[in-house]
Amino acid sequence: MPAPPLLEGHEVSKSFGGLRVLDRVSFRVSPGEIVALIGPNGAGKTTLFNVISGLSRPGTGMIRLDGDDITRLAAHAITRRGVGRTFQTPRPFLALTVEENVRAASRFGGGRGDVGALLALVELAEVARLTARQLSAARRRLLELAMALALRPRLLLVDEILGGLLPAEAERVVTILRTIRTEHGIALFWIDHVVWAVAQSADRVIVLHHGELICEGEPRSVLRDARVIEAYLGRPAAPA
Amino acid sequence: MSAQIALDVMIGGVITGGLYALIALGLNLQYGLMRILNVAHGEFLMLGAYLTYALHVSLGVNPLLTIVATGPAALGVGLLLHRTLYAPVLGERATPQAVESRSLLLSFGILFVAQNAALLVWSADLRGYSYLSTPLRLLGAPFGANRVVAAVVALAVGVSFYAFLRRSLVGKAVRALMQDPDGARLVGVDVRRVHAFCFGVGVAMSAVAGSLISMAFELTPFIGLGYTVTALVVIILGGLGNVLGSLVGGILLGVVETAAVYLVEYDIRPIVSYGVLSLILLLKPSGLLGR
Amino acid sequence: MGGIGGDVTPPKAGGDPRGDPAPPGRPERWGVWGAISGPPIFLLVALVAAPTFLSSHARSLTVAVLADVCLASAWALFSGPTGYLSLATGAFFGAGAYAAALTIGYLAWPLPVVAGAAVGAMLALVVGALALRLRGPYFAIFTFGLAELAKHVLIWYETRVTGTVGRLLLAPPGPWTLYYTVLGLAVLVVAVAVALRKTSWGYALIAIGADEERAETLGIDTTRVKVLTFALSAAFIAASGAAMAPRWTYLDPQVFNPLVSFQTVIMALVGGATSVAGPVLGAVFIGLASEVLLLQFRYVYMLALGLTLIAVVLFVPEGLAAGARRLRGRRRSPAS
Repeated sequence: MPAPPLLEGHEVSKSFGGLRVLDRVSFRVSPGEIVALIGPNGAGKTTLFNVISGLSRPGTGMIRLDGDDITRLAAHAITRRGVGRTFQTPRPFLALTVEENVRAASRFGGGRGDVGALLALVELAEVARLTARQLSAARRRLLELAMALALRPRLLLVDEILGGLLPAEAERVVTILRTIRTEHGIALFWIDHVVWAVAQSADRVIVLHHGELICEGEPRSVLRDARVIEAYLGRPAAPA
Repeated sequence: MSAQIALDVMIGGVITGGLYALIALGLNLQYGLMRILNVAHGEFLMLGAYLTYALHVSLGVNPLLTIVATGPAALGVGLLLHRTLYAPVLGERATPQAVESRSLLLSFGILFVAQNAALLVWSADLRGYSYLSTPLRLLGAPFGANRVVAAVVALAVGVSFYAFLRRSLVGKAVRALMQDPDGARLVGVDVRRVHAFCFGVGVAMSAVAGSLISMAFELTPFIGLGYTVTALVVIILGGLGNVLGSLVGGILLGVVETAAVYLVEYDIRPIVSYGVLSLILLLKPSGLLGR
Repeated sequence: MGGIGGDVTPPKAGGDPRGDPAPPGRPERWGVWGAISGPPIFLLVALVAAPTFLSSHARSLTVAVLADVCLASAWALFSGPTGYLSLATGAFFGAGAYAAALTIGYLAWPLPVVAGAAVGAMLALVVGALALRLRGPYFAIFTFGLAELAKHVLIWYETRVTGTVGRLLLAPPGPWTLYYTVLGLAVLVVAVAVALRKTSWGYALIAIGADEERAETLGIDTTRVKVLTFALSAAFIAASGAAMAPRWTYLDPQVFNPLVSFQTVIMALVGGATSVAGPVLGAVFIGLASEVLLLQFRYVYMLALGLTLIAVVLFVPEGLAAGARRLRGRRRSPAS
């Protein structure tokens, strides 16, 4: 029997003005699972994350965490229930040091995170005393990750953490993500464009295109699916 | 309330509201476009009023005619202020929040300077002059001719500006900037010039409104603040950046205030405008006509 | 980063090398007092002893400046880190003064001050609940006319309902009591300001000012933090109003003065709203200037104040305290 899902979404829809950004998207993430969310730019992936994490209200649809309805809950409440989030553009507190950033995040979340262990996990221990402003882009991503983890999430929404990284850096991040899942049992819902990382690490892949879920399944089969290839290659869409 | 009284209140409200609309329009241009919260807006009104007063009392110029002087003068002052004070602050790469708070503080400084300069020149005594104070009968109710003329001119200016925005090329550039700053830039709109122009026009409208107000009301250097608050309420009521909203909102507020004052028999206008502001912020912060 | 003009570094306990920062969250009590060493303690002692050797005029001046310190520091408690510019200071100040006027015959001193604080806090809860759900500019707009509104409501209420306008203050406390009350308030506000920055509450405020949305996703209930801090700030402002009320034997609605709002903002900003020392410095500087110049050269002084504000905003946006620190080379407040 499959484990009961940690995160569930039913027919989530959202429109901005006249534009339908999410169209009846349903999804499911089980405890400890790595689910990748892929799709061409503008498909609505970040919007979906905004809706899940409470920064945006869905138009219609329902989102459940552990069976509880969190659809219209405020962002901070959702965070406190165990949903962490990183942003595409990292937003740490630039004037604070790496260590202070993580410590602050852990304080907000209830003050139980072991800062040293977190820094070791994301391999930022040696730069703990540098200010966030002094970090490279790659390291800022890891700092984002550490801050989100400091809140003791059970589910982490990872938004394009590999964007713009060199292959070696990306490898390192992917290893860290997998460690997070394996050693800490944290489920990952992961948006990215870097296909090899997804194929290698995800248990399941969901594909969004123009706000619609067009395919779902194991990485290998999804990445060969005709509809997915068409979406990425941008063959002319069917007339509206 | 009898039909006649209701009509009186309506007309009185429109007369008041016409002026409110013009005052708010100027502020809306500045905030809607540039996110400059110009708390000194009312001070330019006050200065325009005093200028008209001075020209009329010392040189005998017809108050309506003085608008030809106060308008362009205020436009020049506005352009200068934008260039020397606001543009440097807006231009720096800082967070929008820091930019907003700094331009707010700049406006504060201007408020202090303007108000106290006026106090030094004209003192805190009430000043005024009489112009067209004969009553005019509109649909049965008497209103001072000066107030009616002021409202008519104010509305005329407001509506023609609105038409200007819709028809002219410059107007289109302004609207483009309001809706989509990046897109407008891509199409070649010279952002800085349009900003400076709009800021200047905003100041000019305030000053012209002041000239009109001086025809019917008494002046002190302290009248600015009240009108600034009214303008703020109107632009939130009508929707930030929404020009039509300022026109409609101004008249609406004028009517509501006039009705309330009539009902309560006391000058509770500040309370009314605050009540309206609170209601809108609670229920529909984007304004009646806002998105 | 929000706030006015710069990023914020919570201050380290004085003298700590950068490589060993005080961990946020551990209330650094002894560290705090360690920081308040040297000149400030000396100053405090001098202030406590002052009424014994100051002329009554000088003492009165000191009280006024201490009240300004209260106001500026209390204002900066909330508006400093969050960047939400409150222009409601005059309203809270007046509310506190009125509360004191109403209770001074019935409650022993300093209870009227406590009453003032309570009234201020309640008023702030109402205003905050309305206005803090929205972005910064709306908040500034809403608080902008609050003092004027309070005045009009009170005038209307007094003329229509009670029939009297203004209150006579009967049996006010003596000047020495007044002095120590205001001094105590000032010390309390500054102490709270220092302590707050070391707690996670203080960090939450900074986070809200830096990136409110990010703060939400870090688990901070931003609305609650904002409203409560706003109420705390208002309580102190109102308490100052209550403490100062006995200086006017007769209070009327004119005590709700927008000028108080403006002047407080200017004091805090000229000094630098994001540090503890900044508002204090600004209050002393401008408070002294205003007490001395206001009476004789009122309009010229205010005009100069306006020009000063413009100059500060254009050239030293993070405030004089931070600017001075920069000049002295200490790496405390990064320039923006």
